[in-house]
Amino acid sequence: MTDRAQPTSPADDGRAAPPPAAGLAPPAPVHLRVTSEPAEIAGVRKAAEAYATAAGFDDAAVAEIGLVVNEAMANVIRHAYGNAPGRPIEFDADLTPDADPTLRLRLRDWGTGRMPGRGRGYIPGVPGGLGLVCLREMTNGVEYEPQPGGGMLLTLTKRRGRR
Amino acid sequence: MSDVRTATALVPAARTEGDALVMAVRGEIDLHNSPELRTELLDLLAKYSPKRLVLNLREVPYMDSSAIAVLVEALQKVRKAGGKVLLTDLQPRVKSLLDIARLGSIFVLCTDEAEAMGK
Repeated sequence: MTDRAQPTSPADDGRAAPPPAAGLAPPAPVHLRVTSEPAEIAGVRKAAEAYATAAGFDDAAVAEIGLVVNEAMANVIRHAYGNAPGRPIEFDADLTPDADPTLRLRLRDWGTGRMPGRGRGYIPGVPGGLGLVCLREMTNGVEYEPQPGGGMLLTLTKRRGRR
Repeated sequence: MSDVRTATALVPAARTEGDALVMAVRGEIDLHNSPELRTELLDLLAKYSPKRLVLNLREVPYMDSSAIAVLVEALQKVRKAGGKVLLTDLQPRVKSLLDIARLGSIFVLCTDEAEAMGK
């Protein structure tokens, strides 16, 4: 038996490794760079949903993950960039390297860097404010970090199986 | 009953029936196309001033908070005229957003158009 006959890694024979059994290996992290147009929201949302599905989240959680990414993108477009088109937004999705991995969704913009205000809050039956309610209620963590060079990094976290 | 001409694929069909304006809405709705839905909805409300606005959401698998804001704006206009807004055929993702938004008792939620027309 030689190393050549028994490759120990994909690099040994240039072929991709067979896909691991579900739940054993995390899906490859997602990195997207888009611009600040509302037309970009659906694509980023669907990439987040596909990643969450591959990471083993159930349908209800996947739906929440898609919605919070949508709402976070919309906030960047409307508030961080004041609806100006063509400005950069980076989206990353990955899993923390723990025994019970947490989904981490990150959205980076180069906008005003202002923390989202609470405003008057959300009032049912009055338009506005619902996006932030979704972020808060559908994730396990919402963290805004103003970036040294300008703009904001938003990190949303979500655990599997529980709120 | 009479058919109403609509100006966007998001609202493929609309009709008036008694004091009701019944509209079918179609598609995934987010910040990209919710302004188009808003224009159409407010145009038709201004034109017909219905006592009941019935929105059939059977073909809306997804909406975000900007779409909810459009529905709420329509609700405010209809209510100001003493009317109500009925939503029918809610798909699971739309229903859960309405729940989070605590709007389940502000709109009248119906299984289908037949139920809405009986209210």
